Amino acid sequence: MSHVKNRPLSPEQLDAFGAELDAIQQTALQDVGDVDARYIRRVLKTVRYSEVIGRALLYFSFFPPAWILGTLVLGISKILDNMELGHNVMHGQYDFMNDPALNGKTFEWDIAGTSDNWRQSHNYLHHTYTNIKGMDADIGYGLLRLFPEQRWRPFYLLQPIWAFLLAVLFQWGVAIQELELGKVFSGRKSKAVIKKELEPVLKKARYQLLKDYVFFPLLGGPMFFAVLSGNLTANLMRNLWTYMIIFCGHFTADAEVFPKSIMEKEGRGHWYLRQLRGSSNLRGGKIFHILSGNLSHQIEHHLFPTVPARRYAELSVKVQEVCKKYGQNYNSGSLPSQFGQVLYRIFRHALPSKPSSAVPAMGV
Amino acid sequence: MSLQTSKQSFSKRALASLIGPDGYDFWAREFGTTAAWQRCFARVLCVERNGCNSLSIHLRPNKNFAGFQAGQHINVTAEIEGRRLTRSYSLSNTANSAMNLEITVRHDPQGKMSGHLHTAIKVGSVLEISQAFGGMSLPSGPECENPALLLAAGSGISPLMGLLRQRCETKTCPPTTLLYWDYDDAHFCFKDELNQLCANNPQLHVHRLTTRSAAQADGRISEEQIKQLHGDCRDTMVYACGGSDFVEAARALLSTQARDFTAEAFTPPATTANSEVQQQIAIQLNRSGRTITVSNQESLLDALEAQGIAVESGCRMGICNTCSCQKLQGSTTNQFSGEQNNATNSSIRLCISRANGPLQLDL
Ligand code: FES
Repeated sequence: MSHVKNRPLSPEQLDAFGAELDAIQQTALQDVGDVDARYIRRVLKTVRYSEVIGRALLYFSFFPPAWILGTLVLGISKILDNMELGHNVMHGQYDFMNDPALNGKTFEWDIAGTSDNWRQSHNYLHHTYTNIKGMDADIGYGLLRLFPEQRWRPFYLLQPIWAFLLAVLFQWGVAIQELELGKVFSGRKSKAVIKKELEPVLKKARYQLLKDYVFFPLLGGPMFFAVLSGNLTANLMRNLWTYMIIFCGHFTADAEVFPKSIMEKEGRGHWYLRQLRGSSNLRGGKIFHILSGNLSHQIEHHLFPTVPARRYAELSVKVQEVCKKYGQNYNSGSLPSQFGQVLYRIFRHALPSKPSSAVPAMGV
Repeated sequence: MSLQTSKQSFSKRALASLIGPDGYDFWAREFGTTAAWQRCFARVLCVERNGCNSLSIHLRPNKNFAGFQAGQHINVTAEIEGRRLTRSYSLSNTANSAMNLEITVRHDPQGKMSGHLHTAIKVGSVLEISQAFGGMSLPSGPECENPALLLAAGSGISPLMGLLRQRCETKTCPPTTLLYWDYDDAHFCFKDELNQLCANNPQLHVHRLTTRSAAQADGRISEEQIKQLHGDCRDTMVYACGGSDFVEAARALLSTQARDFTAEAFTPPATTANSEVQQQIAIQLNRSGRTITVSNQESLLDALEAQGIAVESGCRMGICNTCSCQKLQGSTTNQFSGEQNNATNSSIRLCISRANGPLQLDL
């Protein structure tokens, strides 16, 4: 289907395509400055204040609306911390400020996965090898078969259940993704290695569990269970939200996967094209974009991962023009439509399926 | 006292384990204090205009500041147009006032930081500072009675002022001469205080020398001048501070004959190398204490790896930020955008950066 939507490009066209996107990135980076600094400070402030307000409200849970409101505020705070703050800061988007509290290399976020593992599996592997089968572990997270190019096994028959569990426990999935436990079971990773890798993961997990399910509930005294359940619900809210945004960014109907061979002699234009064809956008309002960490502009994020995300909406206009000029599909849709396509993939490829053509056409 | 601090650090630790060190710093600032988990922040206590185109700023650091010795410097960091900028300033007061730091900032029309400090800093403002550093301090014990010759050029007066004040704090100031060069009369700082100190301390001699005065210039540092104004330097501890030309001239004249010679030059301005021309450049790796030489034609990541230094890296194309590292000093060019980065303490991506001149990296 996608092959009809995308025009194959000659090497010269690919170079020109890459140069145009480079120029868009350059202009944006040159303009980066105090507006972006002020923005991310405001986001940080919102995260900190909403967390305190949410947690404080939970201590008044003997009055049920306070529980509901507290949970909601805390959930939104966690979503913001995860998406617009943590994810974007860790990409180094705000390194230009030279603020140690907003440095991409050292920032630590409020989810079970360690930031260090995320910087490796997401910033490096996923963003360099986007949608290359066998290189980008985000394709199905080692658990799901979302593309006909992945080999079918009977395990996948129950994948709607696996997908549901992954959504509910998403932060824990992220936490262990980097460990590649499959390799341990199949004996391709030694006990000593996994022991060493587990150390920081367990430390972070223990801290997260103690914080949300022991310390803060204990501070609530008689409200112990109300606070605990509020925290649990807020974490669940964040898990479901991030799962949905991330899956919609890469597993819609037109999203493509690529074989490893595609990396041979891959130039800059080609790399851009792969990012474009592996990503999909979500339409929505301003608040929706902020809560999704602007990953609703997944295409722009994949093209320009180090540009402050608040600029993606503006850049998307220019990117769409370039896509039109070069006959490339700009995959964008509403949340219900894109998520519907994700669900379709989850159900469809639980059963055996065949790719329509072996290698998606990139160049001519 | 010790009980109190251990109690304090316990509650601090308990709080930080719940909200994290960054959370701790954030809330401390929201509540208007300069407290911090680890970093040093300082509040501006007063700002004095010295009438010599410069400003004395008095700062009260938070408890994380470990103290200093007269003649040392601190790094001052302020946010200007969304970017945090860092510059070194000498402390011009004495260590007796560890909770009061005085820096003197001359207004440089081209300098972003001095412009910011001159216009935007008010009583109550908060700046981030580093711990004190630098080795230009007076000896302790009986040696401090030795005669001293202080040579200051321009803003070089700031750390020497600290040394001078320290010498005058003892009952009788030991023999001390200050030679202080600047463009013309209007540029000299600390005039009243120096006059006052001279009146109180018969063994202290201060000479102001102009280099560009319209009326009559005294000229630059020379042997005769020192002979005439101070005399023989054999028993003298000499301290010199100023631009690098000045310091080198002083070193050539005095380093062999003086009893001790201690000098500090301001950091030279970032050099803008011609990137076309192949050059060998020295890179200092501060954490490992190594210095290596690399070519300005290759990316820093390639260059470091070629020398057998393992650096974290990923995509090698500037997108994943894995190779980002703190550049403490020097100038680099972003190979991808051609943009130059001359800021101290700023984060660069090694895989797409080239050195323009000597660098210090936090590696
Ligand atoms: S190695 Fe990825 S940004 Fe340098």
